[in-house]
Amino acid sequence: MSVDPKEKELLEGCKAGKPAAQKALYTRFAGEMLVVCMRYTKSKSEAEDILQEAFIRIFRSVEGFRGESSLFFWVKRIVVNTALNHYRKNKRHLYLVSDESEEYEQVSPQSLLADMHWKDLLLMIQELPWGCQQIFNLYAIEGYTHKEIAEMLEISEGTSKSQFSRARQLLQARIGKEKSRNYGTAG
Amino acid sequence: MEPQDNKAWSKAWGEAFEGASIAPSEASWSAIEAEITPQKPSYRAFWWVAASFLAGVASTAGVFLWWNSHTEPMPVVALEQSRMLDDDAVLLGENKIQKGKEKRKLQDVTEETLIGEVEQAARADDTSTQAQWAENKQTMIAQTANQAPVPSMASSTNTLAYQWKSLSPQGPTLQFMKEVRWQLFNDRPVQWYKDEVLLAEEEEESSLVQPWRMGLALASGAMNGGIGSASNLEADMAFDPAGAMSYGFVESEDKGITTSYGAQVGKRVGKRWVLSSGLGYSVSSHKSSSNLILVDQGSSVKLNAVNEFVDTDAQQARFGLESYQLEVSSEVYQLRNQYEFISVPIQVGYYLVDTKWKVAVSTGLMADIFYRYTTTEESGALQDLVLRPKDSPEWNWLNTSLSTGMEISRELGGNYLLSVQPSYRLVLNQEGAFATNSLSPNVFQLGFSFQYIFQ
Repeated sequence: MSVDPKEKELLEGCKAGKPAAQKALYTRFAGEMLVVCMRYTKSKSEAEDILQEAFIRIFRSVEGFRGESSLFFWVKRIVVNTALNHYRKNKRHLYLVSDESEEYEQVSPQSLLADMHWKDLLLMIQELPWGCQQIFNLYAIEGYTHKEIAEMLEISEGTSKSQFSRARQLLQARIGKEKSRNYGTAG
Repeated sequence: MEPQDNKAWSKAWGEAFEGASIAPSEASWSAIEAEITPQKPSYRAFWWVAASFLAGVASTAGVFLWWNSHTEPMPVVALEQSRMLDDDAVLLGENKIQKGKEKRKLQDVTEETLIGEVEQAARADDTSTQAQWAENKQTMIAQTANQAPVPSMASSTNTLAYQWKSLSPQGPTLQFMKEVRWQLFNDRPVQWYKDEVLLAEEEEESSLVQPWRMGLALASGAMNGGIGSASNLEADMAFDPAGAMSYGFVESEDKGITTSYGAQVGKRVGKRWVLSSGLGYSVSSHKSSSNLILVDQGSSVKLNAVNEFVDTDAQQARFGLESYQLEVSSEVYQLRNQYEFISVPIQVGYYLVDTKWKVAVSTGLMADIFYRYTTTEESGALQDLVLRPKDSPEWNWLNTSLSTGMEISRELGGNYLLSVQPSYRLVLNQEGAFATNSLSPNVFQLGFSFQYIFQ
């Protein structure tokens, strides 16, 4: 995979331990990565702690970056892994939320999320139970399979699926309520 | 819910967050920068090591000096004033058996007095002792009939200088003189003099004294918190009750200080559990006073200052005893006793608090390998006594003790721990040499340690 010349320069500077390059790399990715961190946590301060830890790991392991993926994904992978480590370290258990048989509206996802600002969506994700939150992020946004998630979180694949299903249920209900409040209708 | 539907739904969420960004606080970069910026060489660790070492040395030296300045040497008391003698004291020597008190110097011990001791012992109330002495006496008579007579002693004060050159071949020769060996027994519970020589060892068993010791220690090692190694220095003071020989005119007490050096390694075996071991070399020394010199079978005693000799081979031949020990009461000597041993601890610890401040409790066993015992007469008038485990079955080369304590430590810079370690050590096998010689290193100690943690 070819590396963007600017990224290459940044990487070389970071590998050489140049403070300016490190700061530039941080400036380039910190904002987006903070959102990633916030999706895995309940508060901004907690997310910032993870962000700091992740960037320290990034700068310490930048020597090992071979350009096999884009710099963005490499950085994001470290951020997500750091968030998951944080989740494990704090012994937050998966909330085994019962799979209630509440039906959610069969509307198109695009129409469901239309007009919703990502900050509102972020708040909804943060309101999910811990287990649901992690699995939802990993599956829906990061694109991992349930099998991969099961290995990462040391749970069964079935649990991953059911928790995702529950997360979706909760989110759709929450979105429905939000829309109902804003537009006076649940659809 | 169909998988296809899930994919579309997920995709919508992914797209919703594309490009989403929130500016972190300024403090975030500062925190990262502080961690990734190479630090200038820091001598902080070095200063911590140096400071803890100096603190330990200073406190050890302080305790030592304080102890010495507050400890008056045991007064040289004439036996007339000794609390161990009462009016029933039977003095030694033919024609000298009488009630009263007597102080003798080594050179005052004559053949007559020695014989007198035997006679006196034979007069003991204990019938079994009488029987034993009667038997010994018969043996003596039988054996002396075939042996050269013991030369008569000169009547001068220098009476211990046997005319060994005139003895028959069965008598001692100059070769034996090379094996000059004397023993200063001390630390034994006070016993009444007329306890017979041959019963003395039984008395020892029933009168063991376990000393308590308090101390300060500078320890550096890794009892816990990962694998580490460093040196260990500790010191303690002993507060022993007065001790004395199990027989004879003896008055002694001891007090001392223990210094040990060692290295330890530790490894966490769980989130809060840690195992540790190590190797330590300890020197426990204490002062004592003794007015009894005991000469072992087949050996000679030498008083360097006056160059006088007592050779017990002649006595053995004279009395025909298979096991004969000649105890010589004398003026009071100030002695310094030193025990050396190597300890191998195996301990398990548990962290009660595990933050930057750590509190751990630990317990374990220590194998104490006795190496050497040295007694030195402080004025240098007497030759040093050096004993090793092989010299007597009385000395156990291996002893075990229980160690329990706690460690309060502060993490410094991620890789270092500075700790205070109060602990208590209890000897388990009291039948060993440590016990019979007041060596039992029961110690309450306060240690300071500096540890390196391998991440």
